[in-house]
Order: sequence, then structure tokens, then C-alpha cells
Amino acid sequence: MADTVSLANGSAGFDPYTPVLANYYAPSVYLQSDLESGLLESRHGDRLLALPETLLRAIYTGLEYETGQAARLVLRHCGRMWGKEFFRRFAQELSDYYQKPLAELEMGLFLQSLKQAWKTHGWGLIDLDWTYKDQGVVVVSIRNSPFAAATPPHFKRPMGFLEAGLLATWFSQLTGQDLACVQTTSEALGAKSNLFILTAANRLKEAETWVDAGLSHEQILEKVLQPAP
Amino acid sequence: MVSPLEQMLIEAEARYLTSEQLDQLKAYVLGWPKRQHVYRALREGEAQMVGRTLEALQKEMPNLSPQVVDLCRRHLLLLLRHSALAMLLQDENLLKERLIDWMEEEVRLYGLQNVYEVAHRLFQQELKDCLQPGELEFIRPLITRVQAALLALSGLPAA
Repeated sequence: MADTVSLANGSAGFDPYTPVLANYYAPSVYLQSDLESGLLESRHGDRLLALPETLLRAIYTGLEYETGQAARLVLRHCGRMWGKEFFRRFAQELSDYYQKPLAELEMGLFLQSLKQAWKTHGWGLIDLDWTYKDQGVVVVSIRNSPFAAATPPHFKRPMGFLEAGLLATWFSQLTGQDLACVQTTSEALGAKSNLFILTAANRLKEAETWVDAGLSHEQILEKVLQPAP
Repeated sequence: MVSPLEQMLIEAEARYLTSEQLDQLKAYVLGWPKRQHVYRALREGEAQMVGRTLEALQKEMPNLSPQVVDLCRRHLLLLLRHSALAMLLQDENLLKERLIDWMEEEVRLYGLQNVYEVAHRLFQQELKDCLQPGELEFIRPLITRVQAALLALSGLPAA
């Protein structure tokens, strides 16, 4: 890989042995397993972990049993650590593959890689809605989330604190700003997708209490978009 | 996802292959020299086919930005290379997983449907000009399948 010149940058070459860089995260290429050793690895050589549904369920119920309300904080904190690691790995993989720093990657390519990475890791289909970007807000939608699917049915509010923490940290690392994230709808509660509002941390201080109070995604978004008094 | 051939070998675990499966395997092996020949022809002809398609495209659509032309070039190379491998290994799944999912997203993101309608027509013509009829029939269904999937995004009929 390192000794070939990529065709990604508009060089006019047609050398049949020079790869055209495209989907780094194509599942059959990205995920590598060794039956002998029972190990899962990425094509970059990093270890991967397969989480059984039973374990995901047990994490929700076990945490609730052990820590009660604090379970949310624990999940969010775990999500944050996970997000930090995932961003580091993502940045390294893509900059090695395209042979330039992440910041110099074209936006389209970057976003598409994020979507593919999400899908290949089995975390669902992620989409970013930039409608409110001028107001500093991004709405993230995730469909077919395994984390929502494993949520025990007795929870009556969105419980995707793991994903919310992951998204908050991931985008904080990307932008260098202190961002937070709140989940407003969940597939576990019958919504079409899991919606997350992502913005500056100080604008989401009250957001979890709004979700607790049963406000809809639109109502919460409206509150977040209101200019600070 | 495993290829149809691998799937067959998995299913034949600790038993003999059925006559039907043996016939499939035989057809795969007997077809190999021809497929390899076509694969080589595509590899040798790639620069010419893609280069000419791009020239013709820029003639028909002179206002394309260099960025779009570059994207088209990359996509045509990807299209040809993946189709060639799918043909060689007789594994169409490879197209969906490695190529269509990726290109779909870029076509949508950059709004390339109109450009691709033209590019695909030109590329099909180039394939016809560059390959012998006996070679063309090997690769054409695969290329057409990808093009149809991409053009279906805008509801346009495939070239």
C-alpha cells in the first residue's frame, strides 16, 4: 500500500496495478477473522470485538440494577471513551489509506467513509442532517441500531447514552470544540430512527430533563435552536 | 459474504458433491481460460476505454468541472476493475458489497445522475469498440447491472 501512488488525487494515470482508492470499509476486506485463534481484526491489524446481544442486554439491566439512575452516566462515559478511541482509529486508518492527514480529506469522502465504517462495524445506518449547521446544530439519525434493539422493554425513554457519548466525543475530537449529544427518539420506543441532536455542550445542559419530561424531537430541537437569552 | 463457489463447498461438508454441483464446478473450471482471457483484455484495454470515454464525455458536456471529470474517471476505473474481478470469479455479490454501495452514495452526494446517463452510454460504446463480440458478452451484463443500479437512483432507465 505504502509504496504505490494512489489515483485518488486526480493524476491522469491509468496504471492497471495502481489501486483506485474507494471503500476502505468494504466488509469483506475490512473484517478479517482467524478461526484458529478466534481473533477478529480490521485490515489495519487492530483487534475487533464482537458483542453478543445477550451481553448488550445484560449491560443495560446490570448497570440499572447496580447503579440505578447513574447507569446513564456510566453508559455515556463509556461511550465517550469509546468515541475517543474510535476517532483515533478512524483518523489513522483513513490518513494511512489516503496518505494525507484527515483534515485534508475531501468532505464528501470523509462523510461517506464515516457512514461505511458505521455500517461495517454493525452499528446501523448513520446519516447526518446539516439543515441547522449555521445555528451550530447537527441532527444525527441512526437506523437499525443494535444498541436500540437490545434495550430492555421496560425503559420508557431513549437509552442510547452509549451512542450519544460516542457521537459527542467523536465530533468534539473532529472539530476541537466541546460538543454534547442528546438522543430524542429511539427505535426501541417505536420511532423510525434514533435521532440525536449534536451541538455545543452548554446548549444541551437541560436537554436530558426535556427528554425525561416527554418532549418530542421537534420540541427539543426548537428549544435548542432558540438564541440564548 | 462468501462467493457462490465457496458456499457450494461449505454445503458439501462431509458428503459428496451432487452431480449438479459437479457440473457447476466443471463449468466454472472449463470457463476459466476464457474468463482469464477477457480479464486480460480488459486490463490491457482499460486506459484506452476509460480515456476515450472521458474525452467523448467532455465533448458532449463541455462544462463539467475537473472535479467531476476526475470522479468519473475514478468511477469508471472502479466499475471496470470490480466487474472484471466479479466476472473472473463469477461472483456478482462482490459488486454490490464493494462497488455499488459506495458509488451510489457518491452519485447521490455530488448529483451525478445526469452526467452518468451520458457517461454510461459512451462507456458501453467504448466496450463494444474495444472488445471482440465473444469477449463483450462476458463483461457486459455485470457493467450493465452496476449502471442500472446507479441510474435507478434518479428513476432513469438504464443505458
